[in-house]
Amino acid sequence: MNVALLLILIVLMICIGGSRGVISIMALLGNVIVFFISVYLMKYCNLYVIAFFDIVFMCLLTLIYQNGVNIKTISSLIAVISVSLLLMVLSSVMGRLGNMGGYNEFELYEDTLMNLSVNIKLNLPDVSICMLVLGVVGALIDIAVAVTSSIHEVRMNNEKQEESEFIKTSLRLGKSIFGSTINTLWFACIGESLLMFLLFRKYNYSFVTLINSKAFFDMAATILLSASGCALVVPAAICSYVYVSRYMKKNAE
Amino acid sequence: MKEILFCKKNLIFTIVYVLMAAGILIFISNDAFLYKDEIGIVTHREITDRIKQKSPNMKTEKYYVQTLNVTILNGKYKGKEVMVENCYSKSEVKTVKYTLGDEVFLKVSDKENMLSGSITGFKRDTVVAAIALIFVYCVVLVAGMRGALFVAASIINVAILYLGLDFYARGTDILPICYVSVILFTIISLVCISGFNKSTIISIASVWLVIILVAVIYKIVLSMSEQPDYIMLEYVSGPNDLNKLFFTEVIMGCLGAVMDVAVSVSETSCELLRENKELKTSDYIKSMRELGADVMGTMVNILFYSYFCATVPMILVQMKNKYKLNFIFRFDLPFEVTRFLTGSIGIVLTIPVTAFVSWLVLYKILGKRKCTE
Repeated sequence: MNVALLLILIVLMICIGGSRGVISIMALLGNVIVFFISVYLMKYCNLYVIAFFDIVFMCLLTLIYQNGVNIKTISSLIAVISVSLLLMVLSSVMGRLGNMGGYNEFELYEDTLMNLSVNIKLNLPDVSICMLVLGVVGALIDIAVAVTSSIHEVRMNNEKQEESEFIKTSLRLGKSIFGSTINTLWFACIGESLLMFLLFRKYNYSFVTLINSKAFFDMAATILLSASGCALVVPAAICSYVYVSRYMKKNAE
Repeated sequence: MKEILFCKKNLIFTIVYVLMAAGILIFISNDAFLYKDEIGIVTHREITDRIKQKSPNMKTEKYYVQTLNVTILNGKYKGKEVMVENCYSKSEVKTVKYTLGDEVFLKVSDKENMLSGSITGFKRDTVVAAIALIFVYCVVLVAGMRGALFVAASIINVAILYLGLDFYARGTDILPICYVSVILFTIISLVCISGFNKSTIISIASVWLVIILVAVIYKIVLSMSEQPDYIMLEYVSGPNDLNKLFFTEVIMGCLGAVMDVAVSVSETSCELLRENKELKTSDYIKSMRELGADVMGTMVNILFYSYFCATVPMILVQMKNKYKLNFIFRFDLPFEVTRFLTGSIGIVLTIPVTAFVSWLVLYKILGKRKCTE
């Protein structure tokens, strides 16, 4: 089944994207390989180090490799890395406070997981936190590129604009860009946890039990923190664009 | 940074919001009196014992036993202290490590004036509220009214989902519920995010078309290949319509990505026609293909990461248990792969479908007249 779907996808991508469709397929393949290699490495190395390198690598692949080195990609790079670090700190604080990660109350009794040893010498809450951040980096990159390229356009068309005026325009533009990827994350999460919602219903969770339950917390934390990251990357991209352009002006003089 | 944070409007908003959030959080962190179950707070902890157990790769895993002093916050034992023993492993897979200040649900028993208790759960309501407040703050600060509308749309969507599942639990078939909620989700999310105008109507129509196409493709492929083993799905609770439930999951997961792509394609095509009223159809197709190639690559990557990252903890547990990679691929990942592939097919299909619908509406029906007003 999956093979047939994969073939359909590849044919469609080539039909619609032409030669650039082929490039997208290669980039996707690169990401898949990097992803599974890094999962494999997580058995041996420090998780946070791997996650950080993964983020940097993804940025380099999508930003520098596909779009070249210029003020837009450099400022997106800075924005994405700083927001994902911030998100990592935020989610590890929240994750610790709310005891995120590990098996939730349904997984504890699931047949497929029952006979697995849990002595894995790997802190599972840390894994969840890294994965939360890694899961949203793709969206962060997308939004950052959209923001920097549209404000770059503004700058090019109107070079004499005052900086404060420019920032105001950029913020207005940023508003319309926010929301262009957020539905993807939101509904992907709903789609994944539909069966879990049914379990909540089946066991007659009351509102109080629901918001204190681990399964709900893991899901809600993932989606809400990812969405916050998507929002924060807009001002971060504008800031880093402004600073990078100031720095470049200084160097040029 | 200065300009963003310290502009007068944002500063006032931040101050008001932080005060309000602090009030809410202080209330929730002291709401033990609202609960019927006993709630305690960890006031002292000490590691009293260390144990070692064999792990599957023949190394040892450390276990710790901690003795906790828990002060009860509500009920008839309010103010009393119980001692609880808790054992946790370094990996914290099934076990939990408690730290000072953690609030927990307790089961207290009173035998001959000796209180003893055991922990039954973790109290997470304060953290959930904190995360929700952070989310609302970020979204509203960055996107203003649009952000607030997005939050509203999300709440309404969750309510619709809840209603739908309620109908399902009472015996309605899941498929009609799925179709109705797809229709409602699309209208609510798109109207809230981009307002009510022609490009929104184009997006809504294209989303519906694409979802129908994806559903047809999915059904055809499913009927031609062998049935997947739905029992291996996570969180299966035993109903016998798992194939329909999984179909619903796939469609829902697809919907978000399709909506995002449809919005950006239809907004761009309206923009194109507004700027250049005499645009030829061939040029239009050319620029749509350019846009499609741009959008496609990034969106497919986003979908890949958001689906697969969620499964990594389980993959790691299995890998640590010396499961072979091809075993994991055959039994655990197929569902994620199906979701991801169907979603990606949806994304790719959205580009020509939306471009075609916009062309139809803007060229044929409206006759190249003004398109966004």
